[in-house]
Amino acid sequence: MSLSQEELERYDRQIPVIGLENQVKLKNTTVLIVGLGGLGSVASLYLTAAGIGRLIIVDEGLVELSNLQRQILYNIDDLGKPKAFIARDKLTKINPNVIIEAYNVKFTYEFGEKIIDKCDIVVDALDNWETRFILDKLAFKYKKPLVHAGVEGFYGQLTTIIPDKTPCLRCIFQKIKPIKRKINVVATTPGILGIIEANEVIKLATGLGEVMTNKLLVYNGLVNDFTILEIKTRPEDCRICYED
Amino acid sequence: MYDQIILNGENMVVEVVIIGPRKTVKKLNLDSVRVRDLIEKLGLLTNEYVVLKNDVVVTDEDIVKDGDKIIIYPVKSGG
Repeated sequence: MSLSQEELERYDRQIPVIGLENQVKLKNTTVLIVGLGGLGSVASLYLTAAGIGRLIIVDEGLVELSNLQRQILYNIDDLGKPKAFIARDKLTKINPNVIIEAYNVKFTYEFGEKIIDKCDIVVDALDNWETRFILDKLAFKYKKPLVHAGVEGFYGQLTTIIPDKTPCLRCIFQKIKPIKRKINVVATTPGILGIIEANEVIKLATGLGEVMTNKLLVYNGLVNDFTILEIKTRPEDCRICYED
Repeated sequence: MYDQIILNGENMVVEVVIIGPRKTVKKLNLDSVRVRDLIEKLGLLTNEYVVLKNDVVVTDEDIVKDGDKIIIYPVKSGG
């Protein structure tokens, strides 16, 4: 798939950086984003602006007043409406070249199996570990790279999972119990981590730079610190990789 | 950005780095312990942390030994 004259002009400040070939690679890439809260709003916005070809977005939620402090895709006119459809409409207005496939449903293993094979890269923009581990299992089964982030307060973490090359999410976060609780967060934290998720996708799609594999990026917004932890796991500890 | 805790037991010294907002140094007397015991001794919840021993993700049952470097990271769950 090539770029139109409008797209060449639209990406005029980006093509000199990444190259025309890589801009075309972005256009030929499909990304699944699960969760359209603080992380998903930002990741979807930047991937749309950057010229990803197709976005599959999934969120069962409706826009609430308490979302507007950080979920920048929505405004007061959207209250009570499905996030997935509002997001699709907003993103399409930012860049109509991007094909947006929106699902206002709960992400389950069964639903994920129907759509994950259509994508090239998966973005975890979720707010709970129960669904994260479902997404991880699917990404591993279908051999899709998975970009994970999690946020709370002024803090966050990010890692990129490549099936068969890195530990899966469950390998790294094996001790975490998927208990649901209210998680408080400063407006800017999901913005910063969501942008880094989008940046990881751009690098995965184009092959440029290095992605955060076998590493955990730890962000502390109170003191402006980014720490990178090297991580290894022992295969015998994994609960997913070695299942039948 | 780091809480650094030096564990001095009769038979071992373990460097523990807890990644968090505060910077504190504690000294605890310990002999050989499981990761679970270490986390509980530090007053932390075992199911909310990733624990790395010499850069390897370890389980609660893993044994901490003399000379090990432990990093404890409190996982963030929100989106």
